[in-house]
Amino acid sequence: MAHRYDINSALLRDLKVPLDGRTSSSHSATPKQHSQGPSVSGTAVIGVAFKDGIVLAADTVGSYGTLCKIRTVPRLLKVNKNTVLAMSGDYADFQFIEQHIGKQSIRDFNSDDGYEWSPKSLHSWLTRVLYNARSKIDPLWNSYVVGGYETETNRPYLGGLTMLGISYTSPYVATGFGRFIAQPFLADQVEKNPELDEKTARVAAIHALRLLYYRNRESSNKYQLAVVTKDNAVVEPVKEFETAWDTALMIRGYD
Amino acid sequence: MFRNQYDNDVTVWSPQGRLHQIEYAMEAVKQGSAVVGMKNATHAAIAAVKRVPSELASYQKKLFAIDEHCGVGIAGLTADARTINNFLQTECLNHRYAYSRPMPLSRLVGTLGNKMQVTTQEESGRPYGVGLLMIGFDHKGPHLIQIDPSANHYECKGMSIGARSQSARTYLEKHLDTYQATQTVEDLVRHALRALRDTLTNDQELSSKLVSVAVVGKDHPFQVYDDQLVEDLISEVIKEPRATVRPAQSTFAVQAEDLMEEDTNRPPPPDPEVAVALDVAVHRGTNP
Repeated sequence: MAHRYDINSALLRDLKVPLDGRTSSSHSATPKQHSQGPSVSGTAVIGVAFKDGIVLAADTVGSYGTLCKIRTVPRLLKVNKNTVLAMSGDYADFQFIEQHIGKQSIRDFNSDDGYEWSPKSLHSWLTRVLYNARSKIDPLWNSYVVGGYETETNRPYLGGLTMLGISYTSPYVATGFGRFIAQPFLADQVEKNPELDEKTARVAAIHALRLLYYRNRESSNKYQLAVVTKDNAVVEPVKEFETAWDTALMIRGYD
Repeated sequence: MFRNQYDNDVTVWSPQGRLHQIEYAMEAVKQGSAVVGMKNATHAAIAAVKRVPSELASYQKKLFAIDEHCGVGIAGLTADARTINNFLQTECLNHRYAYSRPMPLSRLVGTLGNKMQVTTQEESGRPYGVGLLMIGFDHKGPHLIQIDPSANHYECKGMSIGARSQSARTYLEKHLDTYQATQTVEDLVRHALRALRDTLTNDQELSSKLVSVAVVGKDHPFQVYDDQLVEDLISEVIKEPRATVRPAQSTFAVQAEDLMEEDTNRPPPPDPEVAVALDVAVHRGTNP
């Protein structure tokens, strides 16, 4: 379980801080602490590649421990018309990454040379950033799914990335809890039908979220999809999926 | 000793609005042996004349690979070029490491330009004494870029730098449409060799020892062709008749005579004026 913020000791520590807000590093009451866990966080995200694109899916909860602190928060980011990103883990760390991606996008735009993020380059860059942070023993507490359409190869691109900087590409990806619950389901789907079309991929991604929702108290049935096909990326509005709980009573320990 | 009193360091303007140290650095490029470059729709090529400092030494390298997708030909101070190459290689490598794809030429040249510009504005140190012709291939297709010690860079269709390079530029201008329309790498390199041949003196001829060629393009990583690899193309090109090279000295003499004749008919040249922009028109001489 993640380390919790202790409000009382934090207030006591704040009293020792000079009025101008500057902390003297050599006389600090507490040593500098690195991240030891997430605070507001998002749970599993799903990525599924289909014949001529990819779909990413995420629910919209920002959890604070087991508390559902924010019910509707976007966890999918459209980077450009070829590239989307799905986050799980610490939301603040994601916002930090989001700012960097945005700044680079503006620099690319200003250069006016037609060079911009591609899913592959974003996946690579994120891997470097996360691995670098973990190597300083101060990790960014995120797992990511990067997806999109790679114009260079003219093929869909789907990649996963852990907070330790382990990155991989795969026709289906899930992070966190989803690796145990959703990934086996997605593997089965892709094995049965290696050339998924967009509709099947969307249904599979939503059902993967549903499977997670049944078993994961941090998740919800409010979700977003991002779909990328050639020259088009759409992050869709928040929707809700249907659930059926009538079989729940058959599960031992449910009540 | 000095050509004038405004060239002691790079930060001092001459009254004519010129920076003499930078112009001298540009002269250093002209001391180096010639490099020519050109591109067609899919590829870019450079060719260079190699010099040998003595009978006992090997030929000075003129073409350098920067990354898989780009390389440079140099004219001027080789030692300065090595510093620049190192910088370019590091930039390309860092970009590949971060983004898993090659650095676009526009970005690469931009960072180099920023680095070189600093040397044209600091009184300590000097500008780089080397000119580069960079070729490469990226998402925008093939590129040929000329880079000067003044930190200017130009995207070119065909260009040459170094000693006697004007003759090659004449060839490149005359045959622009022809080499731009070439369909094969071999045809492009033939044009590069012909242009390079025009920079040679009458007593020289293309040979595999004297010439280096490099090519980059679509599905064609940057590669330098030396020695035997260019032998076949060179042997073809040298069978062609040479462009008529006018004896340099007599041409100059004729021009000088013409000038002398003209000068006698002209009014004497005006006194030099300080070239500073004024916000009030200044009238001198006969103007009422």
